[in-house]
Amino acid sequence: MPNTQDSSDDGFDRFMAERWPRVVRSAFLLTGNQHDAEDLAQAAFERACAAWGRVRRADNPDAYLHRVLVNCNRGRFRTRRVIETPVAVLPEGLQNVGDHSEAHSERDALMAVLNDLAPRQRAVIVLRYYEDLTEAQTADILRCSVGTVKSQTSKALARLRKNGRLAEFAQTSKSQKGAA
Amino acid sequence: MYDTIDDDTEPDTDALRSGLRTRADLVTISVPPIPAVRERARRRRTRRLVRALSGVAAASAVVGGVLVWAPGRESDDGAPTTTAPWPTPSPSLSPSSSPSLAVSTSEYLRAADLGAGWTGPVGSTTSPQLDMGSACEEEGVFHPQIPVAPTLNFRYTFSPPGKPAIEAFEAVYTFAPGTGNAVMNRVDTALGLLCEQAEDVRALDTPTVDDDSTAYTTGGGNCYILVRSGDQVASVVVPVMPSGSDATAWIDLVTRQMGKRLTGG
Repeated sequence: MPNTQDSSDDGFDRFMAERWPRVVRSAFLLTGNQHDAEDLAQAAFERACAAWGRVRRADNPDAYLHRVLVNCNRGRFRTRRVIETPVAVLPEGLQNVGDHSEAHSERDALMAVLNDLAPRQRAVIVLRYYEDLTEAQTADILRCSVGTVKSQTSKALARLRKNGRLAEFAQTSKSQKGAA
Repeated sequence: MYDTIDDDTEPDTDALRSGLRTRADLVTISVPPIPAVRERARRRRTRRLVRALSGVAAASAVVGGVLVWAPGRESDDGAPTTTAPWPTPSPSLSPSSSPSLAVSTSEYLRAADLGAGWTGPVGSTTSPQLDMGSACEEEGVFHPQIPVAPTLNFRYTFSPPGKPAIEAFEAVYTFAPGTGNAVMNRVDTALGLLCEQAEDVRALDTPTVDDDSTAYTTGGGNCYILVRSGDQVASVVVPVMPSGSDATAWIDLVTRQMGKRLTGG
């Protein structure tokens, strides 16, 4: 049983190259800034690479990748939660590191919306509304029941609606569509 | 990647969905750092191997002091045999349905079984639970299975001239009556869920000597062989398994011996 994980033609390069952009974007929504997003994405791919022999034979390698991504982010938040405090308005510049979008306040509001959520709720929102996964797929990735996904989604949306940001964002989005 | 969904069509969730995509699309995408990721993955596998080996070595150093050598008891190949350092109930005090303790199977594998040149057992440590490695627990896909009695691990070594030494750690776990099959099912499930970064999983065909068995290798060349008979699960871990046909032959040989010892066949 030779160890072939480091061979260059094992398919991992292509796997990572194809998925890198989307994983980084998902990671950005989970972390809130680009530097952490790239670190998180790298960590997820690192684990996938270390287990590549199994990943490539799995029924759904993408599900594995998402699971690792969410788990890594949860671990990241655990180690940093002492110094991270959700705030109503992000400090100037913090939310825009590296992606040059300073002029778009509605985007800032969106990231503030996400930052208000607990990590698991944020993961549910990203998986459900960015990755467009079903409740069952989200439950599989988060290793919880569909009922838990439903309740987490409901709580997250309720929290967003309660502080008015979701409605505010919806209004902004509606206005933009109308203007267009 | 996945099937899409059409539910949650409330205006605000639509806006949220649209906003997330718009925001995410603004992220600057760098070149995927594939070489760096590969290197980190390689180091990760190495770290895990070193951690596993150092943990076993440290435990061996501590527990080895209480190893009791039984004078006068010699195995077939002349190597001394060992007994467990804790008191074990006598058969007369145990209900017939109770599983036997580890001491009765601690010598299920002998150095001679492994082939010429192997020595051991060398040192020992206790195993409070069936361990599949830290990655399994990190991923949350395998909860350690607790045997009903402490289990001794024994180490065997093989140091061929001019080649790296090979070590094998063996243990036999005794689980509660009627639960052995469930334990193996959980192991197989964990392997199916990418636990322990298994590269190669084999359902070994040795129906005459044991109930079921499996072997898997992990990143870094670790090899695990598990054989179950009833509620007993024998486990051999080779931290650094040689590659190629030698490994296949070695695994087959050891599995046969494990099953033979387990069943007394």
